[in-house]
Formats: sequence, structure tokens, C-alpha cells
Amino acid sequence: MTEQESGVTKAQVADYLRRHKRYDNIDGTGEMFFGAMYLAFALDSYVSAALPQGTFYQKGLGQFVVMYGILIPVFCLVAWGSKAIKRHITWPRTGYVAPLKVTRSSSIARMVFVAALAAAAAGVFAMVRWGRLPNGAMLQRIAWLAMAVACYAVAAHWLSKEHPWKFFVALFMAAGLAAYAIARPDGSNAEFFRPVMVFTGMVWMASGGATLYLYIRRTAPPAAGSE
Amino acid sequence: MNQRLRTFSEVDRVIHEPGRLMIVALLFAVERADFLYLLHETEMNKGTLSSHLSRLEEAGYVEIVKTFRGKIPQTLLSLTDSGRTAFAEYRKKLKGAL
Repeated sequence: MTEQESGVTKAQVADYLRRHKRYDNIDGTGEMFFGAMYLAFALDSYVSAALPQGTFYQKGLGQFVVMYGILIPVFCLVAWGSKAIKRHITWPRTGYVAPLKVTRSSSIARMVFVAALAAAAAGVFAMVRWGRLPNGAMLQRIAWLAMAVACYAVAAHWLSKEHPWKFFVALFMAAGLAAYAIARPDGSNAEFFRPVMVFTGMVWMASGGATLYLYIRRTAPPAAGSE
Repeated sequence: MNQRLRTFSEVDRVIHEPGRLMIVALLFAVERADFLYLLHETEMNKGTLSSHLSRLEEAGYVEIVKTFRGKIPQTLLSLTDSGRTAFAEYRKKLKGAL
């Protein structure tokens, strides 16, 4: 008995079992969430720097008050926005699906592989750029930039079947961050990272917005009263 | 009879039909989904999909809940425990037969 004779292939069954994964970010809300959180951290950093030196808000508990005072409202706003997009755009067009909460070890392994690859590439790049052994601050910069690119590269890989152009966005992000790192080798890490977070957040937001735009263009709005 | 053929002849015929297999596999991977999601993913027409769902409900493999999202009717679908067991068994037999 062959797969053709049985009328079904194992690959087909495997494909059916994977279909729901596309729905995680079918409308770009996942990417926009990441972008908004990056921007929220950037805002926290700018606000903290602008507060008067030596006050309660720049020490210990005060820093957390400022951070959560910014992060929690942004998180709530983004969660509300994502739900609104799902409720008014996604579910009426392509349906509602609630995924099982299962940890996929293969996905984690893939993420670790891509992250390690990006980190190694960034390390080689840094050694070529700066020559001598970098100090702690420089290592911190390299690690953060590599992680920022690796996170987006993983998302691009996941979404590559429907949106292969996201690999170019990953390249754009890597090139932009590398150019910035080369152009601004001096200054404190806090000053260095603020524009990084803004840039990374904007790239995620734009990528999510493009995904949403393409989703709306490719799907039909629901007919009145239809399910 | 060849062992592989015998194994294949024992597969669940309710699930083995290609349309129903697609529905069951799609539902197996999720907690629940609505009719529109299945319509979109299977690319069947409403009548065919409804007919397959009725057959699966009769077999006790799918639970169908009619509800409303605001003023819009919504049909939520999920695999029952016996549906999950039957699909897992089907996959096992399919692997043995192919």
C-alpha cells in the first residue's frame, strides 16, 4: 500500500497539524506587540534620563515605579489594540482559533540555533571592527544588537512561507544597527541603546503594519450577518 | 493477507475520508476553532463542511457549540476526547500501513 493508493500522505497530515501556527501573527499583531514594547523601553530610558539627578525616581524602587508606570499602560494598550484587531478584522475574515498550549521542543531548538548563529556572526563582525579584545561595555553592546537581530530573524523564518520579504527586513535591521554601532563608538551604553530601541521598535511596528495591510488586502470582509 | 494491508483495512473509515481527515487534523492541533476557520483552511463549501461535521458529530468525535459573537452567529468546534484518541490511533495505523 502506497501513500497515493491510500489517498492521503503523511506530509499532508503534518501540514494540517501545522496550519494553526500561521494564525499567531496572520494579522501582524504579534510583531506590533514586540515593536510597542521596544518603544516602551526606549521611552522609559528617555524619561529616566530626563528626570532630575539624584531624586527618588532615579534610585532603587523609584526606577521601577517609573518603568512600570510606563510599561504597564503600554502593555495594556497594546493588548487592547491586538484584541480589537482580532475581534474586528481577523476573526470575521478568516475565523477564530484557540491554539493548544504545547511546548514545541523542535521550535525552541531552531530558535536557539538561529540566535547562536546571529550571535556568532555579530561576534566575528565585532572582532573585525574593533580589532582588540573589547571591554565589558562593548561586549554588552554586541550581545544586545545580536539579540535584537536574532529575535527578528526567528520571526522572519517562521513567517517566511507567506512573507519571504521579512528576511530583507532582518537584513535592513542588521545593517542599520551595525551602521549605527560603527558611527557611534563613544558614549555610555544607556545613551547608545536608546536610539537602538527606537529603531528596532519602529522596524517591528512597520513590519507588523505591513503584515496587517497585506492581510486586509488578501482577505475579504465578511458579508453582513454571515458567520 | 499482507500485514500492512490488514493494518490499513482496520483504519477508522470515518476519519480516513480525506475531507474529514483534514477537519480532524486541523482540530487536533487546536483547543477549538470556529466554522469560518475550517471553511478558510479546508477550502470546502459550507454544505460539504457542514455535512462532514455532522458525520463527525454523529461518531462522537467533534463537539459543536452554537453561540454568538456580538450579534453575529458563531459555531465553535472542538475534538472530543474520543475524537483525539481516534485520530491518534489513526495516525499510528497509518504509519504502520504506509
